Amino acid sequence: MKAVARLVWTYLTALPILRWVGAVALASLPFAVIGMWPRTRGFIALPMLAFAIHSLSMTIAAGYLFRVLSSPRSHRFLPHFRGRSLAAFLAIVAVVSAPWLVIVAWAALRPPYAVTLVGPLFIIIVMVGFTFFPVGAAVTLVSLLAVGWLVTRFGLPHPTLVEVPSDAGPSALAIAVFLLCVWAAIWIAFSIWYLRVRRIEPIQTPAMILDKIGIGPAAGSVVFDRGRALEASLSAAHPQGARQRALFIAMLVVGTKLAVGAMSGLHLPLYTARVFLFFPGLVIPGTLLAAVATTHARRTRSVWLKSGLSRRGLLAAIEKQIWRRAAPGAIAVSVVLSTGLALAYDVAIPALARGLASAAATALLAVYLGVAFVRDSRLIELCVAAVLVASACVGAWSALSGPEHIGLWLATILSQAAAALAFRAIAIAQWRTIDWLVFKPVRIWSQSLR
Amino acid sequence: MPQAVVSARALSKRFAAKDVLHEISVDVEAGDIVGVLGKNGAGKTTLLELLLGFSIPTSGSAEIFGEPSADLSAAAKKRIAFVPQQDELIDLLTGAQQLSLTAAFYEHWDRALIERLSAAWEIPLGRRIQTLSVGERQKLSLLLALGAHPELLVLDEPVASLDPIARRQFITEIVARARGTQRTVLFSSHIVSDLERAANKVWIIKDGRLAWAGDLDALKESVVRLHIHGRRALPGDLRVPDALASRVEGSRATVAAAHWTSERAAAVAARLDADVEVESLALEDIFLELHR
Repeated sequence: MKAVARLVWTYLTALPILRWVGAVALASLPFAVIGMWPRTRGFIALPMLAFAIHSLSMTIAAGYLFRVLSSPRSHRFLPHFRGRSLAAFLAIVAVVSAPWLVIVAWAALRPPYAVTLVGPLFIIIVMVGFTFFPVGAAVTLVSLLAVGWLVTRFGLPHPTLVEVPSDAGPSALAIAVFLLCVWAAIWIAFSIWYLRVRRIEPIQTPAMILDKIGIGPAAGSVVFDRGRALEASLSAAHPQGARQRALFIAMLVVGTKLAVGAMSGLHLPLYTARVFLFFPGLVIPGTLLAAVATTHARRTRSVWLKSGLSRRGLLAAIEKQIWRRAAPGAIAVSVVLSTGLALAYDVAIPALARGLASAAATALLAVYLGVAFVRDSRLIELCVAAVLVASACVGAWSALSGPEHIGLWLATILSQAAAALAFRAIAIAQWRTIDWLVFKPVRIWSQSLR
Repeated sequence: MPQAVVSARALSKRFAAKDVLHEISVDVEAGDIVGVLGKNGAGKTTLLELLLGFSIPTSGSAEIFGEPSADLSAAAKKRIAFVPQQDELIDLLTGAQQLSLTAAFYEHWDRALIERLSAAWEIPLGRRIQTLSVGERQKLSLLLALGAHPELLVLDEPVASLDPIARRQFITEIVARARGTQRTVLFSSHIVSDLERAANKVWIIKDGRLAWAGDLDALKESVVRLHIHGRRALPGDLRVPDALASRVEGSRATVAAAHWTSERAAAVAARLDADVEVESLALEDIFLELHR
């Protein structure tokens, strides 16, 4: 049991990005409660989204790490690893799903919601599908999206998820029960496969998959100057990632277009669109910059001797790199997603502009929170993440809530900017004594499980 | 007296409530090959990384080329190469690209040496690093350190994942380089035979303290195992000076002792009324005796 418990803990906290997404997930819980509150019960998208974010954080953990640690290279020294690993993973699935199943049971008495609420349970399955069977999962998902798009595009009759007619076809409860049976059957089948399969190959990173289909960065010679070498060392990225970036941007634009189309087809109400606009568009991209910044900060260890830079010089190098690369990327993601959703749902342009300003302020704060705390403390990380996510949520909410909250919005983004400056000063002080013995890049090997 | 390449004075490091290193004072001179020995968790990595400025000492000081380690100038850093226990390679690059990246940091990069060693060590430079085995990654890390022709090469467990042939090749290379060009090597290892083959000086760390720092030959002469054959039953406390470990069974005893001299042997024999047979020890035995 102890080994399984340690595995669960590792799956949830092994990577900085996990802890940050976990914090976003925790911050989203109040929205789930709001959605379930009797007077606001119509806001069913809120608990759905909260659950989606929870599932995302848990399944990055249990999906990605589960997959990484399932390969023989990671666990060859540990006896009975397969069974324990599966048990730990299923425990996470149970933790995520159990409260939701209770909610589904509650919602079963209110037919319009039952089917809607079963849907998010499949998020973990999708994530696991992508990590264990990436090609199959991608083909399946693209096919489903394409069907959804065709249905929407040509106006074919289709069942709406929000308002299932209670007098036509099987009842919502029957559909929900059927979906739950499918859900359980998939887990049973996966467990049998996992325990019986002879060998689980090391995970194929996206770069490797892109490499195989000829979109990866060139394997030939690359000429580095000192600046490019420093940049590549800090980001641990290939300097010729242009084709991958282009692919990512294309996927983002097409994905946004498809998602907007699908949502239009579902006739989701405006408040639902605002919720989608709120988290993926305005809160998450900026927030994740903190994880990016802290990862860069950890990697400065690798260039302490080679670069010749002082501790202060390394902090300056990170700042420069984040503001030149990662931050524009995160803000661009915010702009594409938010604008796509806003245009589809006629969100007022001033509200959108306020929202994007809020996302930029969140990005500013995230960068300096990410580099300010160079102690390897998960408690500090949690506090930092809580402050960041809370400010991002207040900023985005007040931006989208109409003119009556402009004062709050303005106060929030100004506070975020002021806090960013304060944390920059803290970072400069902290970096004088940065200790790379403890603050170093996170590695996931079997020893992290012992 | 020439300036020490590496120097530490009363160097201590404390993490939370634990003393990881306690008052270490050492010097390394140009041309030395120093092997650092210690059990897991003894403080070897902490010591090496403190010396290189990766960490700030709780008390005491560390210097390299006469500069404080935590505040090394760019010029001093260019004279140093370090291979950490966990490699810092970039998975997406190929071996050749990683070499090109590292070369960009240095004004003088020995391409001829890199070509020779990569062929001799059979490093597949055309493959992406994420597809290399642990041993291949370690060889590549070593290659990156050697290419810069550092005056001070610091290696933390450099050969742990290498096969015996690769280990032997690597040891031969660093010994040849150090002896031929007065370059200094500081390395930790669990593989005592490698250390014995390469090092001329040894530091033994025990529970964060320096149990020995000095010439390897002097260590071997100094630490011995005594076989004492008494003419009557021996006392439980033999009071052998600088005894590291002892076992008494009736009139016979075995004692490991440090700083041993023939005068001490004579004194012990006379005091215990016994014959004392002195056995020289290999480094591995010395290490074990020091940790009993």
